[in-house]
Amino acid sequence: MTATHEHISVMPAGTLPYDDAPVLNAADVARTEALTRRFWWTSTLFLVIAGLLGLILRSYQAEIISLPGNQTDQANLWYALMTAHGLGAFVAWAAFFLMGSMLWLLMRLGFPLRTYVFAELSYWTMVLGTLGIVISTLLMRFAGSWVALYPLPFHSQGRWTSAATGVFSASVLLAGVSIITWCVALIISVTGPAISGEQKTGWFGRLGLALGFGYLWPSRFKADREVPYPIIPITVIGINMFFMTLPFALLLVLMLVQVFDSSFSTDPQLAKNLLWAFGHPVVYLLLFPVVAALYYFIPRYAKRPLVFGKVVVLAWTIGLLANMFLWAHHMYMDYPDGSAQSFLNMTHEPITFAITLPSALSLFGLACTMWRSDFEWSPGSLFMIAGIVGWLSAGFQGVLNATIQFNVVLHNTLWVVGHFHHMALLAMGMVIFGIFYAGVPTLLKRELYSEKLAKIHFWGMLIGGYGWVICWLGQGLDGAPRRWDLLPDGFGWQIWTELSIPFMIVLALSILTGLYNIVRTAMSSPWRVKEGVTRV
Amino acid sequence: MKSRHILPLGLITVVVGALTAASMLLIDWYPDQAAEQAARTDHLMWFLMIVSAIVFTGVTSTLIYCGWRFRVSDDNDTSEGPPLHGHTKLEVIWTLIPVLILAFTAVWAVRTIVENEAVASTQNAYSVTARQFAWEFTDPKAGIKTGDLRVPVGTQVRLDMRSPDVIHSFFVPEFRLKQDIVPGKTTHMVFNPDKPGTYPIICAELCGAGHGVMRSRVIVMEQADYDAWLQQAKQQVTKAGK
Repeated sequence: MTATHEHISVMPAGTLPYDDAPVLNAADVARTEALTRRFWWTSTLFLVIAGLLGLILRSYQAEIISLPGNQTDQANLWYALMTAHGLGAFVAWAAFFLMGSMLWLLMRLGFPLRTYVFAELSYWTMVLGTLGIVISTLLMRFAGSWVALYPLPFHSQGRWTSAATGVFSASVLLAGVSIITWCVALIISVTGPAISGEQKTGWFGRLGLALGFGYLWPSRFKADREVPYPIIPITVIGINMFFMTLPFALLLVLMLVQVFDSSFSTDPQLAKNLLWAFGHPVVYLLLFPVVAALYYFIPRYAKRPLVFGKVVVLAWTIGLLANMFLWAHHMYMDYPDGSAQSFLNMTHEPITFAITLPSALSLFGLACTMWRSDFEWSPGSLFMIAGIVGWLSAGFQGVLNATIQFNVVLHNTLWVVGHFHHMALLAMGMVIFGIFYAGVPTLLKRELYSEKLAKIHFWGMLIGGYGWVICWLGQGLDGAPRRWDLLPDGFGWQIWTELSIPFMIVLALSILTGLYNIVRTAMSSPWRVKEGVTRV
Repeated sequence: MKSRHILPLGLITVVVGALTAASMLLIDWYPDQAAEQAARTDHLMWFLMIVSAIVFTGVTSTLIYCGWRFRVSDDNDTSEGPPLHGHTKLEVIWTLIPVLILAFTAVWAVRTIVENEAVASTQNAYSVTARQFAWEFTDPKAGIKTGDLRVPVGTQVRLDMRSPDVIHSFFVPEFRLKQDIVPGKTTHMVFNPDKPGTYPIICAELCGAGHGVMRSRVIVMEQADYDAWLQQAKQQVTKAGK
């Protein structure tokens, strides 16, 4: 059987074992697709800016380029660029892209948005927040890193003003509002009538269905159809980020109060707790939507249902709870030894380990879904499989980071920088590009301009990306600290920086090739139905 | 599993496993060990590295094999393999394996940190002040303030650390130890240096534009050398006081 896009879009629900999308309202489809395209293009623009900043940061460290001013000016500018790069790449590109993609995925799974107000609000607050971050860092030189590291924003030693701290705090707060409103949009969608059908189920019952409880207790959580597995991680992250963005929002409000009233201050340890209560779960703002996308696409490429059952639902419930309590693994070293808080922090080690359960089960399930299937290779599936391997290898680093004694060694070293670039770009970033390639026919109504360019993009990103992150991991294991504008001579660290440059160039060129391919696709003639093309 | 899968899957596993093992073993990833805490920490690290390598090899090899062996065939046969959906026994098995590994790791890690922080009956205590962008070490008994930290080998050293401005972090890679220094709090660190030498002290928490130059040294000395240095330093302090 060879399906076409037209074929898929009119296929009734249940025709294929992996096809659980009911026939949708055309107006909903068009509106959601337009909204998703807007998220995609805007986030891609932010990727270009954040990527350019990343190139400048690493080139400066390799002493290929110089920054204006004296040594201290250069250092502060480097930290300001780092602040903009971190927020730009992580939130304004990756998270923003996935936030838009999830709206589209929900619609494809038969859960269209029930109101567009929150999605629109999410889009515009993220755009405004990102512009504010650009202004506060690049123009006003705020250089406290994305985590703000209270009380550093108020101890700039004359390098930036209190107003810069205020603009930065307000801008990040806007990005937080974007995340919260997006969560609201998701939760409203998944708890709508699409999930329970004709069954009389209350709101919490529908939320339980969206979390997959119908698999565990079918008599208690009744529905006309089984919840599609991708809905579970989407619901989990919707709940997680709604609650876990609030503590960081509170910290930003406290910082804004201090901007206007300098006699006001906040306890630094409280501030750090408020920060990391958001700062670690936000990683899953990327990962869980990526998992949802894999749950959606891999069965379609393998042409068989996901190899999942009941236990994965339980794992996601554990993940939901663990994600609310695991932030203290960022604070293993902030409390005096032997204190009650220090002991409590140790309990966050197994809690952090627990978050790996949904990942482990998902990886095994996805591999088994491919086992003895007729797997269809295309640019989309190629990027997604590479993303799974990246997720696995970066996931091990996460386990190492969570191990308390290992964390003592590697905390705030370049190992952590290598780890999150590995996870963000070579795991989640790969899947993001996979979604891009897989979604092009449906969302852009066009054929991909060049599969050859897509393969160049893939191999460049794979080789350049791994070479690039391994250099950071090596530096970190050797004790090189992160967030140093220049690493000192005499430690053997600089060679890793210089070694990473060719890989970084390959990586940058490959991503540019991919973006060129996608822009050319967007500029080409509209869609023609063609036999034998990748279906999504 | 049918036997026709074993050989090719095994070959892929050997290749992936060899590459993974080579990347682990052929590069000297860690700095030297210079404290008792470092050896205990490295044992745990190697355990985690080896377990990670084994699981990575198994899963990646399976993915590569699936992608190659089960790709869509030329005749575009889309018939399905045997249904595995809802195989609870399989799910339970592959849930229990990581749970057991992680539980074992958690216990070992906590045991390591408890041993690393165990307090000896005698200690050399020093006060540390970290400020934008310098370190200051005080021997309260001798009344000596220095920019470098000098300690005798083979004893336990205790640091009581404070910051008057922002968060800093005391890090010596060769000791495998790190401790944040938070304004308004006194945090502590103990270590047992077991190898004479000079090792870098690094601030590991972004503390402002001068963060990258906030460095110092810990000089681990033989007891006799340390005593001689201490005596000389005391005399200098006395002379300066006069």
